[in-house]
Amino acid sequence: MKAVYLFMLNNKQLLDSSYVFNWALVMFRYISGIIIFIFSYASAQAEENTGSDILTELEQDIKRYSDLATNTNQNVDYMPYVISTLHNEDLVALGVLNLREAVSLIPGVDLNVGMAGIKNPIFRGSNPYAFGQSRLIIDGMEVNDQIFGGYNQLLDLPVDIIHRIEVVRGPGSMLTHVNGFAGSIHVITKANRDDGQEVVDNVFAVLGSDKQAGAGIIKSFDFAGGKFSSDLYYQKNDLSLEVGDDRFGNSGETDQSLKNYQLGLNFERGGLYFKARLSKNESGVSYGQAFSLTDDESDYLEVENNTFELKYIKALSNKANIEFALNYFDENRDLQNKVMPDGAMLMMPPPPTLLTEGRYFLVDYSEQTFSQRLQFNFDFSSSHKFQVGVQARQAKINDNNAAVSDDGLQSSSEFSLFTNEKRDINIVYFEDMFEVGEKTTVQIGGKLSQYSDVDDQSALRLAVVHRYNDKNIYKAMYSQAYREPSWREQYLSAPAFFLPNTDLDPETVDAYEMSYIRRLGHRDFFKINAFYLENKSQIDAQNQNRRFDNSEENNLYGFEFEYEIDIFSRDVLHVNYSYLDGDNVTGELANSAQTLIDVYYLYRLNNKWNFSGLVEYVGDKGRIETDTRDDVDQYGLLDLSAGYKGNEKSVKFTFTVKNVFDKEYSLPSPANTYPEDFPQSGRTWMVRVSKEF
Amino acid sequence: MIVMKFMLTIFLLMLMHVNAFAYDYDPLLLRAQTTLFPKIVLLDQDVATKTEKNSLKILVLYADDDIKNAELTKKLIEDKYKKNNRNTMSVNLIRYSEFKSSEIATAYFLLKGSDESVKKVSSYAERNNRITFSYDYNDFERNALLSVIMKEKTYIYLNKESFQKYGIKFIPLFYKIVKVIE
Repeated sequence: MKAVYLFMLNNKQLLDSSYVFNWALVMFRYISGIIIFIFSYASAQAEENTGSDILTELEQDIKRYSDLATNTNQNVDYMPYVISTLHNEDLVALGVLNLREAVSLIPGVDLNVGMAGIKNPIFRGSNPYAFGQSRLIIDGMEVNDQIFGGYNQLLDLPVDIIHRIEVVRGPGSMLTHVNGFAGSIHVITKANRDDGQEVVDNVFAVLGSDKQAGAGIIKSFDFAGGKFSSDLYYQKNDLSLEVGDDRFGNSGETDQSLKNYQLGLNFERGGLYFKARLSKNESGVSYGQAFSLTDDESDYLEVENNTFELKYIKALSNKANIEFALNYFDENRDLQNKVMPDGAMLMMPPPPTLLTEGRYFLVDYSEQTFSQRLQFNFDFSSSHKFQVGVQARQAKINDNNAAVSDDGLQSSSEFSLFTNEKRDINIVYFEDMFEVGEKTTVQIGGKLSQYSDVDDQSALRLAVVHRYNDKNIYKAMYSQAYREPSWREQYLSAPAFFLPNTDLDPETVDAYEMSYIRRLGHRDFFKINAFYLENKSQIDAQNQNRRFDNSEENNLYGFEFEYEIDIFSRDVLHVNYSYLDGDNVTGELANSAQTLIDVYYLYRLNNKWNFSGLVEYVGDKGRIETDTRDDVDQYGLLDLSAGYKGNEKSVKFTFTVKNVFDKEYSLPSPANTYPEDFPQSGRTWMVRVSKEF
Repeated sequence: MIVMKFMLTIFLLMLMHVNAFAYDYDPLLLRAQTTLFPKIVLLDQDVATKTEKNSLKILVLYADDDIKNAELTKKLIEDKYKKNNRNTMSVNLIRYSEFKSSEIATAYFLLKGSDESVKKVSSYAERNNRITFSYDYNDFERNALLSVIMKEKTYIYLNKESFQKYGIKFIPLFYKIVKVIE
């Protein structure tokens, strides 16, 4: 414009004034038009760019929250498993003390008592005499041992340090490389919460009946450019329970006491993760290592576990990453148990020997397992994910010492506890999950394990999730799983109450499951699932020789249903019902209730007070074929709790009365051990105090 | 007897307390919604005409006894939005019971409320071509326009029936990422 104006000025004398004026006007309009067009275009372009920037951010946010929901399993209803989730807030409000109690609230899960009083979760009645049919995974680390295949000593984990518990029923687990046989329990601790929220520092303490006392702390802080968090607790009780005659005719109190601590450590920086969990349990010997009542109060069982994981995740591209994990697990067991009373007659080996001072059984055992895992994760698109990995595990026994003493611990005869001292496992696995159309997700998975001491095994998984609409979800799953024999079952040296068998094969299962979920609201739901399990080569020692054998081929079937609703928008009513049929041991449905019911109601009166009631019903339990005792009686228990918290940052109190009506009930004893089963605790109380910072 | 006394005491305490109560909200869902909501508002092509001195005005509607979650929602929206550093924004809280037709805002975030109260706000927003975003997508039955839900993935839901009535135009690419609910 300035140039045109100057041109006009400079040539003013040369041009006719009216002509110049008209010409200038045309030029002015023309150029103005161009300028306005350019400005408008630029402005529109800028707006468009801003809009697309926001849109890009929006898409990134959507992906981030989708990933978070998947990682934290908020969207379990859409995942190809039968899963139930328990949250810390509900568990605390219900007065649940520890992981063991929490797991028993899951449909289809019951507790069974094994040697030395071990209370083990049983999933859908599947082999109640095995310890390793389910897997326990704490913060992504599998913690099952080799001696039993179990994890009993970690079930005392107080719910105060737990953020949530996810329980998968049926084969598989939420981790592709962990293949639970009958189920898997995933514990996410508060110190390791994975929902993108900061760890909340807190302290807690518990007091209760039987001199129950415990305290702990959860603490996090930034450290060395990364994030560090930890939990630490100590708890104890002096519980003892009456029991009737043992197999030697002695009756009295059993020492169920416990002293337990755990330390959890987490460190994260960039793609590097370090986790550790160290624990120690000192307990009484309960019903005895060989199902006989001890009269020596100094008898004890000490179990130490240490689990470490170092993991590195490196992004290879926007759609792929590589995960490398090194794991270490060790367990030490020390046991002193008077397994035969004074004056008992030792029949084997012949000739019969009189044990005037009884017999002690002593164990000093430790095992360790190293594992290395390499996994590739591909996100081909938001609707197609693929994982493939390899894992090598080397398990071995370090201390393999056992002894018996027949002179009141004055001297002892030592021997090796196990006849084999190592097991190597190499595992290859994959999982492909993709969408077919907008509403259907298909999962195909496979796992191959090569063992150094038992036959190689393979398992397949095929699952379909169909989202008919937002409210109706259907799932169909076929899966296989296997469980290698535990060292107790395979390599234990005589003398033992149950005899080992070096020729054992792994147990296997073919599981068929169907599930329907009706979502009634954000939290409200109705779920029903049916299952059919074809168990093969099941291992137990429920035979005349008390020798572990792959004797069982059995089928179990049933259904589980869960219903949860908030009736008054300030409460939660949860009902679950499990029905089980078929057989599990010797053609009978042994040690397993056909009916399990859990009902709880949480009522939040206001921001300060909450109240809850919990009813657990466990139906009659049958026996093995040769056990002529009556069925174990059904029982129902009522727990009541009240919680108070003045404000957001004040101390929270929860008072709980368990087994309010002091109901007498028992868990089943194995055949030919204690004729009168194992009576459990009557009414108890507990106060829990916690404070967040 | 001790238990009975305890329960009686608790019952009496229950009767004595009338403090406000908080509804149940899914924390992760609320975080996702409060992250996505302001960005969606900015995708309204006419957002500039709905601001107050170039500042977005967001109203969070809540039930009488839900102040705690309303405050949390406000905090989450503000915290997330500050990071974007674009237009300024003010987030105000107002009870459903106190909502008046003079409460004009750029957009409305609806927490849980009665059918009538949600309908009242969404009808007002519809008449004034303003966005309503509801925590509970069941509020689509009560004329709410948008929501976010978490299923196997995270989705932005757009209420088709209401959308036709609200007369809001989003930038065209937005329609590619939303799920239109009939």
